[in-house]
Amino acid sequence: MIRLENVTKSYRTDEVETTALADLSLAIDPGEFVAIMGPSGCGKSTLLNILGLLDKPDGGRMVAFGEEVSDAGERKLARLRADSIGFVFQSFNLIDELTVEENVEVSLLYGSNGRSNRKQRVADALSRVGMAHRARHRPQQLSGGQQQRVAIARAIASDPKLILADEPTGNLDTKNGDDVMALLGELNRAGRTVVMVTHSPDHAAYAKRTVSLLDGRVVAETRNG
Amino acid sequence: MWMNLLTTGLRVLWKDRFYAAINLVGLAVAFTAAIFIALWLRFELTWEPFLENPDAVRVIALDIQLPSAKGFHSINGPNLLREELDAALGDRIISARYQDGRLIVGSGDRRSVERVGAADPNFFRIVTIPFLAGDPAHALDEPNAIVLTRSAAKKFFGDEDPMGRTLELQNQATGKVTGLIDDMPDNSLFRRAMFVSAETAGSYMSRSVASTRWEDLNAYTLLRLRPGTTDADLQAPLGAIAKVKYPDDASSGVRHIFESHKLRAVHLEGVLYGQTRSRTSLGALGMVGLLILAIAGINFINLATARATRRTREVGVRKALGASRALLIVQLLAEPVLLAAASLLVAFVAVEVTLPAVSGLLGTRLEFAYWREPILTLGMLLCGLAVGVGAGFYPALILSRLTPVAALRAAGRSGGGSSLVRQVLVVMQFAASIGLIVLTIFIQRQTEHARDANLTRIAGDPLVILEDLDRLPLSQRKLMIERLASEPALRGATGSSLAQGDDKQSLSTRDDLVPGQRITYSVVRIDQSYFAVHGLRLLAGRVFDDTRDQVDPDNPPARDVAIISASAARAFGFPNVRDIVGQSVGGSNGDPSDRPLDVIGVVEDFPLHSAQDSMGPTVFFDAPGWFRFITVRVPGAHLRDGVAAIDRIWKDLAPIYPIQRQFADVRLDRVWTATQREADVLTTFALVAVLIGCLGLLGLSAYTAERRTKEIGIRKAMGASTTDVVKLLVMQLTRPVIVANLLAWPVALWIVQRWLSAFADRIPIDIWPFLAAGAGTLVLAWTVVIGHALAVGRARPSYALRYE
Ligand SMILES: Nc1ncnc2c1ncn2[C@@H]1O[C@H](COP(=O)(O)OP(=O)(O)O)[C@@H](O)[C@H]1O
Ligand SMILES: [Mg+2]
Repeated sequence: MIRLENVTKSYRTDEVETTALADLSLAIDPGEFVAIMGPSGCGKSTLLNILGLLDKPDGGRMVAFGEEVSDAGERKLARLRADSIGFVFQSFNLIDELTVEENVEVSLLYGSNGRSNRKQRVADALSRVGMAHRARHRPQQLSGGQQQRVAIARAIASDPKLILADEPTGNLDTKNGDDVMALLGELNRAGRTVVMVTHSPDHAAYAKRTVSLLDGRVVAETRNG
Repeated sequence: MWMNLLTTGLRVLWKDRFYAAINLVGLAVAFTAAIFIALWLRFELTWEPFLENPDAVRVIALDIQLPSAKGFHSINGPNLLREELDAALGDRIISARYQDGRLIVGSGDRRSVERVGAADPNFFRIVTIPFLAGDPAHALDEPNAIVLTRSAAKKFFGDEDPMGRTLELQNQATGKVTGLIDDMPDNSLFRRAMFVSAETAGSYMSRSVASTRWEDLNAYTLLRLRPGTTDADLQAPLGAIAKVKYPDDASSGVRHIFESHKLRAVHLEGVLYGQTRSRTSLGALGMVGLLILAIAGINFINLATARATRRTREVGVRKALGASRALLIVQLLAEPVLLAAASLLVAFVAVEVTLPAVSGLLGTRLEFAYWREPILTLGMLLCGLAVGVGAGFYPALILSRLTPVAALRAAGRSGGGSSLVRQVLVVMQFAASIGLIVLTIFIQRQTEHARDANLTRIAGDPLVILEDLDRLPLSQRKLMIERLASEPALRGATGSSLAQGDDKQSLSTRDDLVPGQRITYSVVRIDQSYFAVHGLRLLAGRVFDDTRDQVDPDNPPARDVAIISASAARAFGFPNVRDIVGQSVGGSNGDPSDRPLDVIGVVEDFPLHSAQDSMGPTVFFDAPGWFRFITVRVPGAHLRDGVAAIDRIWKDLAPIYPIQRQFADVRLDRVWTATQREADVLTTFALVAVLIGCLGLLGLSAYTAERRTKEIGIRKAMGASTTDVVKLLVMQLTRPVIVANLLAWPVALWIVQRWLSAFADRIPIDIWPFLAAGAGTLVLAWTVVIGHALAVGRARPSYALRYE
């Protein structure tokens, strides 16, 4: 589904150059549930951003959804993000000014999947995460766990093939974290590919494969169960 | 503690320097514009600024109403009116005559033509120009006394003391300097290099100055009412004098009405050719000034409050650390007040620096000495303080009232509550800009329309007009025309009693031309070359032949040979104007002065007078005795050679008289420059208002884009493309602009209708200026916003999402 070959990425600030990804190769197959682990600053978020086409690698090749995207145009990337990828962030990233419903709807505004019965899709996504009764609330009026569930609803509303989650449980207590993991597992069983960054070995255990990073390189891969 | 407040304030400003700069520039430009407008209004509303007790000073104007032409006002009145008023009112008034003229003034072998005022001894007791030397009460008592301005004194006597020195006047008289005054300000009717005694000026100034006929209007009559005397006291004598001195008014249909005007306001009353200012335009300018301040103030407050919400966290922390509410308020006020003060400072400096340039543009010397303008200076300071406090007060009040916990919790959120207020303010500001643009478009178009209607230029070569010809003896005038006409570098020369762009006219009213009707027409004396030189072809008939048709002033003929304008032909009862050629009209009422007119030709109406519609039907005679001008046609391709030839011939024939020449176009334009300048000033300041609006918009759009960074990152992660983001941000702005248009149009329409209704000949109101203003502001708004939108839209979303 996505293949990275010898991908590099570095950030330049003033005089310091930080290498976030160094010659990294990785393949994600359809239907997989991959957990990415590693110490803070090792390049997990950078990797996820590149997988999600939010950022471009400096070097190497990248093929996503059967298309060469290493040097694809902005328009093409936006279309792929809209149609094929759903995001879940550590800090939820809901838009304060919009209601829960409208926040979910945002993911349908830019792609081809949301053209028909948008309202219905929003309602379905919300009820799948158990948040239908809060449709008209503002994000500020919800707890962290509830906000993350709305974010998951937003990620699945456009029915993407790939779901990327960057420390989705990082800001949640154990109970809410477990709920979110259960949801992600359920989505994977329903056929979606999930790639997730986590610090928790317990949560990594939900995944079928764990990739460990250190200093921008893959240092270990383990298959679970 | 104050030091701490100051440094925190400055640091906050530095951190947000982009916004601080926008706020500073916007407010500074507004203050600068407002100061200029205030100076300009003060300048225009206090003419003769030196006038003591201005409410007691009057000038008598004459309203001349004609039976069949438009009629006119004249501030020049009959020479003897002052004497009559003195006789009627005695010591209840102080009175003086004042006459305009040009004189050749000489000292040693230095000679130049100067604009001179000839005035009665009491003049300086009425027009209280301060004296640098000499006694204003008696400076003009002696015959041939001279009061010099500083620069004229410098010109003739250098750095030596001019008092008691002599000057040659018109090569005929010797005058003695009895007083020295400063140069006259530009907002004065009496902008002259020197003043001479009127009593003796008649002997050497032009014939027309000396005339005491009541039909010749050649002198201002100036009065200072003594305490207890009122305008009502003037009415009866003025009416009585008109009745006695214009006995024909009852029968001729012409009416002479004396009006008394306050001298200080006479330029606003429409009685001065080429110097009339319109009260409406000045009022509009004042409104624009207020609008500029309002728009800039709104922007400032808007942006400052928007920015202040970013300090919520700081407020929360400080409160948690125990800062009192009062202290927080002062601290939050410090920043905007500092900024407003800086803007004021910049504005004062900017006014100081640009004053000469702006004065040049306005054609007027404006002065700004803030210690002499306490009201203006104080007003501006208050304005600055109000804006600063206004900008700081609302956030200070709101933020300082929050509990520390609430402040810290609110800090993460983007301020959504006050955004409605902000939207409303943006709409208002756009509406004001749109209204201003619409209004100025109509003002410009109406001004151009009025100008074009009065000013159809004669096509072809440029015409040079030689003025003040009546100084030369008749024989010399004729010789001059002959020499100019035969000069190969020129294309003809002609003499006339009236030249293009004149503000004088000679009128004749007769009742013998059409039975039962009084007809007034203008009389112009010309020679046989007149129409050829002006490039005019007759509609029918022939031009004059000087050998056959010329009038000998000493031996007037029994019949007048005339060429008449098409409008005169129609007025005389010939709708088909060609039919009048060969006809003889009038002369049947037994009055020997109303001689029959033998019409030999008809010419199309063409612009002669500076206010052409007061010219009316025109009759031309071949009569060189009245010539005051020579018009010379100069080949456009060899202008320099032609003008040099004119100067050479003049010098040859009249060496002692410096030449006075002007291009006809310049003379025609003269009257319109004041009106046009008014429109231009208004337009300029309206554009300043729009510009300030745009600056505010720039700041606000940058702020919005920044505030929405996270949201845009989310949307991009959800698949929004750059185009989607740009569309989102641009649409956010388009809505208020459209609403602003809907609000502004009806109001602008109403104002334009009211403004136009003051003009008899007015342009129609069409929709284009409205659409143009609407589209213009929209495009302008887009240009301002699109830069930020693009920058934000293009940014990689990963960065935006990194920070919470
Ligand atoms: N926008 C950026 N500018 C500069 N350095 C960055 C930026 N984003 C990440 N980095 C650096 O790149 C490295 C990897 O960062 P990241 O992928 O966020 O790590 P992780 O998510 O594993 O904690 C870190 O050293 C981080 O400081
Ligand atoms: Mg990370």
